[in-house]
Amino acid sequence: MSTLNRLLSRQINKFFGNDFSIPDNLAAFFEIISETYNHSERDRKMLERSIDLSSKEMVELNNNLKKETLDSKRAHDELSRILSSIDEIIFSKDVKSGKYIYVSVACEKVYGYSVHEFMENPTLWEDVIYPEDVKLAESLYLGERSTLQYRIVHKDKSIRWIENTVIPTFNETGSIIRIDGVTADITKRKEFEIALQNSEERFRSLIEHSSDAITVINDKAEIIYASDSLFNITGYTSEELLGTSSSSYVHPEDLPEIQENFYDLVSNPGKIKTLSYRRLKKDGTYLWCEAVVANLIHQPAVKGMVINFRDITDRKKHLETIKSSNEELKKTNAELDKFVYSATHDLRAPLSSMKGIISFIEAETSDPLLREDIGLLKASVNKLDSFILDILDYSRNTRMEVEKEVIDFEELLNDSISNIKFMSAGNSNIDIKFHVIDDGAFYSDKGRISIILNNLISNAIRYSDPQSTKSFVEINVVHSNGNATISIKDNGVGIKTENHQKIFDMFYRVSKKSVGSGIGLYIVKETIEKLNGSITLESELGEGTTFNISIPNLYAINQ
Amino acid sequence: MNNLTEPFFYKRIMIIDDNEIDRYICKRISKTYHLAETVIEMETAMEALEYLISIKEYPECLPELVFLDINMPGMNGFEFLEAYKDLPESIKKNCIVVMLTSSTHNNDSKRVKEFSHVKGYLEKPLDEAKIRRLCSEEPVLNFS
Repeated sequence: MSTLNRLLSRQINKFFGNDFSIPDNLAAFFEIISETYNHSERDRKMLERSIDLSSKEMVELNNNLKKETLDSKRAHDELSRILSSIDEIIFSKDVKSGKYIYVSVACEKVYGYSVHEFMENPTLWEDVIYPEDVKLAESLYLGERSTLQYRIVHKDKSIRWIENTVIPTFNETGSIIRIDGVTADITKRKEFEIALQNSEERFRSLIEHSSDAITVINDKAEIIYASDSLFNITGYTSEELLGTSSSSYVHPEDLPEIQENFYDLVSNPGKIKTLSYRRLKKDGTYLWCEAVVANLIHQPAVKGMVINFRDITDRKKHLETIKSSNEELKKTNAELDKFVYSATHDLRAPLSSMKGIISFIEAETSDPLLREDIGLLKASVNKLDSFILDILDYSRNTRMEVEKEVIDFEELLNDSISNIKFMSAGNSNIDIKFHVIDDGAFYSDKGRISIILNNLISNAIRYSDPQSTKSFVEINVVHSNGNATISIKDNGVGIKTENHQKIFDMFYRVSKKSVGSGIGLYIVKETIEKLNGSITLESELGEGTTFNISIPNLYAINQ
Repeated sequence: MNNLTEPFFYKRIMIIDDNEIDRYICKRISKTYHLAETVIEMETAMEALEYLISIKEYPECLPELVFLDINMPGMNGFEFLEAYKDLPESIKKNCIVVMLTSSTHNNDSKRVKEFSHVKGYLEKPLDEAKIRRLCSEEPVLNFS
């Protein structure tokens, strides 16, 4: 039962009493009224609801609209902010009026002129074009999208490179109505490009004008680049060489070695080798080349093996000549050597016979005059013999190669001293001492060291002070990996300062009392020079002499 | 020095040298200083080799010491030493070889060391001091 029905029933009951029964036709009438009422009630509610709904939508729409307006304002602001912050000028020009619709503030940076100046003067952009580039810039605005690089004169008078890109907009009839564009300052990039180009050109001209030829080959040994300078050397143009196999230009006899090196290089990126081989020229002859080959296959800029070679045919020929003349010299030297040995032997042999015979006479005669004569004869023979030995030492030093072996100074000194004592029996009262400090193995030429020691020690004995009873010779040796220093000190007669340098001259003898031939110290000096050493002396007349020698360790030199 | 009462150190020695004066000196000095009673002189190395082979059956005739020169025409000292290696042990066992030379070649004294039979290297001429060294109890002969 609807609310209306209940209300009607209650009102009827109130008015007619509870026992009043509603007639059937009235009940049906009530029913119709109630139903109609209910219907209208429902329709009203529906209407209310739909009004309510649409008003809500209206509010929402309204809100959205408000928001969108805000957003678009913000977006616009953002866009102008971006446009003003970028370094490139963004511009828009109306073709009909010839005036700018828009120019971004970057124009102040690029041109030095303000937005206002551009707006006021639509041809400003043309006025500032660098005179030489005016013709070039004319190709802009030809009615299609184009990009051009040219120079302008900045307001501060400096010349700048710019890149201008223009995009035309057409109307339905096909005529241009608007031009949009971007202008960028590319001075820095351009300068860099020019510098790069210059350096590339320089590099290229270096390559093309160098006496070295350059080829680049790939991992199959095919030539992928050949410099023009190669033509000057081999007679082949780079066009002839491109794509051909590099190995076809190598002399067949050198090929196996070159191929072996090629495979080694290919499997070792970055490896560099210097190779020497014969290379075919266009005229069919071969040249000797020295090539530096670098595997740069892994380098994207090269992607190949760079062969840099030069013609060393002349050098090779010179070397051959030097080699053969060297061989000849060696032969001559060997012959000379043989000659010197047999000559000295043949000269000494009769002297030794004479010495033998003289000793017999000495032993068997008591005649004082004869003994004196024999003594003189013996001295002459000895002098001649030692002179021959000196000559032999000299010749040995000048021609013999420097040999290298460990030097046992103790042994050398012992030998030398016992030899000298044996030879100079008269001076046996001289005290000869030596001291060797071994600070590392010393390598040098034993024969030559021995010549030096023998000469200097025998000199020290020879020129001892005859008045002194305490004559001595003191030898100190310190040897290390670096060098050997030898000092030979005596308290003999000494040498006047003015003679210090002369004593090393050939055949120089200080006084008539000099016993030797005057070649001994000359040989010493020459021998030391041969060993790259040096000799100095300290000496005072009547005080004695000290020779100081320094000889480098040959082991150290060769390492 | 010239003490004739001293016994001879060797009974028999040999000198191989093409130079007559050197052979004479050797012979005379060996006798003077009692190095040997008999000195066999050989002018060539080949002759010496043949002689040694010819007397191999007579050990008492073999020399106990051989002075050997290096520079000789025909067979030189080193060639003699090569051939000497192949001689029967009976000849070599009681015989020492001493080089006696005026060679100035450095390599000669080195090369001699390769031959085990060579016990010494002396420079000419022979003199008293050298003889004394040869006559010492243990003949230590230096290769100078």
